[in-house]
Amino acid sequence: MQLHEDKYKDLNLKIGLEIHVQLKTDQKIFCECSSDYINSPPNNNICPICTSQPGSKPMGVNERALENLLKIGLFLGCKAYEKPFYVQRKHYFYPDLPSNYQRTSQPILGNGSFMGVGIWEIHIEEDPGRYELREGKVDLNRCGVPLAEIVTAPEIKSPEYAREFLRDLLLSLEYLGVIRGESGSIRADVNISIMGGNRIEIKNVNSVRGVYKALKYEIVRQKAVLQRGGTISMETRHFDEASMITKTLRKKETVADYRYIPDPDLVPIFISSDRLNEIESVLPESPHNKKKRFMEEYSLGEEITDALISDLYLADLFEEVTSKSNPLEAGKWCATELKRRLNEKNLSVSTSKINAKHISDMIGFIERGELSVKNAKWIIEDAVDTGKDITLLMKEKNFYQINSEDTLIKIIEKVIQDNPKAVSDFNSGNQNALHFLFGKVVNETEGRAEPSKTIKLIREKLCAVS
Amino acid sequence: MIFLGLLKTESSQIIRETFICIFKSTTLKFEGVKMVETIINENTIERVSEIARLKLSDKEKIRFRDEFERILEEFSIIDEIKVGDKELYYVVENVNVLREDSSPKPFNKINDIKNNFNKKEDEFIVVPRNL
Amino acid sequence: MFTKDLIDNLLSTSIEENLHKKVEEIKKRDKEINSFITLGIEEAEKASKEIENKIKGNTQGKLSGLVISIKDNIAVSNLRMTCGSKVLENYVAPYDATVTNLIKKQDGIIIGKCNMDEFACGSDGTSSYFGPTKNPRNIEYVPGGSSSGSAASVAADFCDLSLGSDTGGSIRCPASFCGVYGFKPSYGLVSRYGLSDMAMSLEGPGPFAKDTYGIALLLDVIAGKDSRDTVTVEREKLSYTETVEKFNDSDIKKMKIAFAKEFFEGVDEGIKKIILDKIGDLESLGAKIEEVSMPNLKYAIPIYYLVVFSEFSSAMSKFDGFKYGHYVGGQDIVEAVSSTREAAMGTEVKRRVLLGTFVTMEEFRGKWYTKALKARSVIKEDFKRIFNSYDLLIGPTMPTLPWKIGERISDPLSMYSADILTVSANLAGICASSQPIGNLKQLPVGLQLHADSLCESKLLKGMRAVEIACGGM
Repeated sequence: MQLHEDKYKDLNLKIGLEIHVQLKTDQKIFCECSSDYINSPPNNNICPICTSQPGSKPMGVNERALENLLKIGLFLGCKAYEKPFYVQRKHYFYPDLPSNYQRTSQPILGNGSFMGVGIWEIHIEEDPGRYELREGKVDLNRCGVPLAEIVTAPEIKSPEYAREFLRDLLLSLEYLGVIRGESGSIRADVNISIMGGNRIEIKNVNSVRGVYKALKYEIVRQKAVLQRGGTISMETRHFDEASMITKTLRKKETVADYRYIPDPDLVPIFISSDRLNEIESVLPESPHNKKKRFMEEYSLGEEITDALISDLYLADLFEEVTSKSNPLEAGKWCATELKRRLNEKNLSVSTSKINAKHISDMIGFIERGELSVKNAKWIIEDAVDTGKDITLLMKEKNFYQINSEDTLIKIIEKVIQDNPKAVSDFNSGNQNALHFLFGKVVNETEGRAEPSKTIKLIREKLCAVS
Repeated sequence: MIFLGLLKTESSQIIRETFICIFKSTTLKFEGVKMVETIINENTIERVSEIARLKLSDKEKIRFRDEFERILEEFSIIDEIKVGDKELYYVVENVNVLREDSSPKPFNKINDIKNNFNKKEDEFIVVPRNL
Repeated sequence: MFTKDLIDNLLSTSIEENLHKKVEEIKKRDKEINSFITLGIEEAEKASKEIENKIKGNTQGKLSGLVISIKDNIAVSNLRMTCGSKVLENYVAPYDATVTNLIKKQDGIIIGKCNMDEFACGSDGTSSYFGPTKNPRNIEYVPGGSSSGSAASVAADFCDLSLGSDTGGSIRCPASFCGVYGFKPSYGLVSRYGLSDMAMSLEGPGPFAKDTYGIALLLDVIAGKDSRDTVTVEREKLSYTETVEKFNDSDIKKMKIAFAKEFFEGVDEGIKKIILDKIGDLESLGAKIEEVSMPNLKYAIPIYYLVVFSEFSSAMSKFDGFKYGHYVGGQDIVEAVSSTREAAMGTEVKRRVLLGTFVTMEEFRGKWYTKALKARSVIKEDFKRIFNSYDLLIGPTMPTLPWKIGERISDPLSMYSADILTVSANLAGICASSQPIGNLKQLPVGLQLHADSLCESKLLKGMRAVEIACGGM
């Protein structure tokens, strides 16, 4: 991260996100239709309420949707406000919004943080339907699916950080079990300002990658404008997924007076502190608390800890490993090699075949000198891909290090015999010859010679010869 | 009897004028001099009709502007009322009417809803494009 | 008790005959009166046969085959629901309102959908896209609004009971003008699910009948908490019909009734006299009558209309022509929606949408919307003070007699001012009623009673007392 942020140091980037995730429920937020709309043919997962037929009224807010939202907030360290909140009507005309207002609540929780970025507030709202602009077609199936909107402070400092942030946030939410399956099903409004200038809002970006690309593009675009002597004025833009660029929205569509009114059809909601405590008690440990504990209990450094807790499944795996192995070793391997391999293959702990036994077994082999650090990296890759037992992999790949002195001595003797020049170089005082010979032993053993023992034996042999 | 006193009211004008009298006497308005500023200008009607998605004719714009000014002027009597800080959004006192999540209950007359769609194609609602 | 006798009669004669009689009357006279927009005679006939069978087995519901008309802003599935507007001229409701369901369950026969002021925006019944309704008592005069067809259909004997809606007097006003009984339930007593929204925090469905018992009967059927409307509350745990049946003359002595002088200001002299006479009758029968004050009544109209404008413009945003309703189309989504709404909405509807949009805009809302909502509590408090010491508030329903059709100039302010005596009940969420107590110049005069929120039993007792004082039934 440090490297990335340096690249943008002079730009004083201020990036904030308004993230929408679908909450996991069986029914929609205000009606009894299924919230699992993906497989339904167009306009077949609807009812009078979610299509806003004249006379229809919203039913009470889906309890599970609210509970899942509270879990998110508490998990991110937010606090609730001490008063009831209303669901409001946010008025704007758009074909995917049957009432031409969206029901969205006042903030429910706020003042939390995640990955060092402040979470300003979280509230609940209803998803609109889908309007295919280019084709002029509307499908209302998605209307009324419950959404949580998470609003961050503008404290994200680079597109790369935004990408990490979103990935890790999504992982955490999946870990909590509070959002709808299909990973990547987030939508975000992205806010960015550079060099203390006006804020640009990019609406409705539909993927983590899209957020990253939109930000990269905006930085380039805004820099170019400023270089030409122009100024950046506050505006709303649209991100085109196909071309990966942002475009200005027509002025008409950006004039936004939403004329919020509390929805008279939905009575206020008050979350008691008892209720909050109840929910908090069944939550898994928050990233914040986990970090503190890992550093204290396992004496892990901050960088390793951050890497572990960014993927809570990884953090869990790490802890399981510590039941058999040294925490520092476990932490090192999980936070670096394992995490790197997973990222490379776009997997997470939950979607790969790796488990805690793999790592603790591997550490065992290393500690017994049977596996070299270099080869351990291949072991991890294979375990991630195939899930095979480490002992099996060690055999298959012939990774067992040669430890036995007898075996080593035999090979060393052969190498010494084959390389007389190196021997005489060593005897003339050239220490590099030692490494040269070591290299030859490594080749002979296909990398399986246990390094420190081998070097010791070579040295002994050479000294003995001389 | 107590209530007989009410029979002795002064005015026997027709009701419309009576009501305008009531309003007039309480808004301190003098003949020909408006104490209340013009609240609505041409631009306002234009903006409002755009936000409300109503394509008004020129005649309508003039008429509405006129009427709105008069209506709001009459209604500005509410400035007199001494109010507290709280807005009364809800007349009932219930709070926390939440709904238990359970297995979905699909609506049984979806086709009746679709029959009211104005333009359909392949089960989608057809609307103008936005290129 | 007229309606009760009617039911007893029905049980021994014929549901089908009763229905048939009504249908004949409609065919004869509704062309002139224009109280119906859509008739559902076939379904009604089918229902009557089924109910006839139930009666044989004594399994019939409370409404026992009584014929009921329903205001056209309340959903009855498979029938048109026009709200009196071109916007929904061809819209067929795909679902039943909760109240419709309840009526069907109790074996009421729904004969048709009643004419009304467009989207409930009116007080005289002349602003419907489907033509004005005429007052059955004298067809040159307005029937009142906005539940004009509901009141007229009961007055004209086209049905036994009717269901309307009251936002600021829309049940009480036409009840008064047509000489029938009309009842505005407390807010939250009757589910609004299926009632097209006009002003969501003010309105609700309510019954029309020819007597107190009929009101109590329909109220018993439709009142009660509904999971489809989160503002609904638990009703009093008693039977409204029993309350009415058990009431007798001696109960009048226990009543404490207030009247407020402000409710008589600007009221037609003739009407005043009739009301005051009736109050005198009640006093002779032993009720305690005292004068009180409602100092904030003069603010009721502005507060009411500002709340209505705001909520109405929000409620009307759904009409864009895409999912239902009149559609004009256009080049782009803005053009299509703007032209559609312009073409289909009547003048008063447009007026309220524009004003509502205006008073909720950022720069104006503090002065208008927020102020009105803060002021609303003063009306509520006025009533609270009165009901601390009294059971009922009594007075006229309307300040004038019905006017001739076309006579009232279409000046919005004068139309709004007609509601002065009825809007307060909606602002406070309490219950109120209108019942006919006499005639003036051959037109009916209505007496209005108010009772505290969720005190329907008190109000019904009051209505019964007045009924007795009128020598009735």
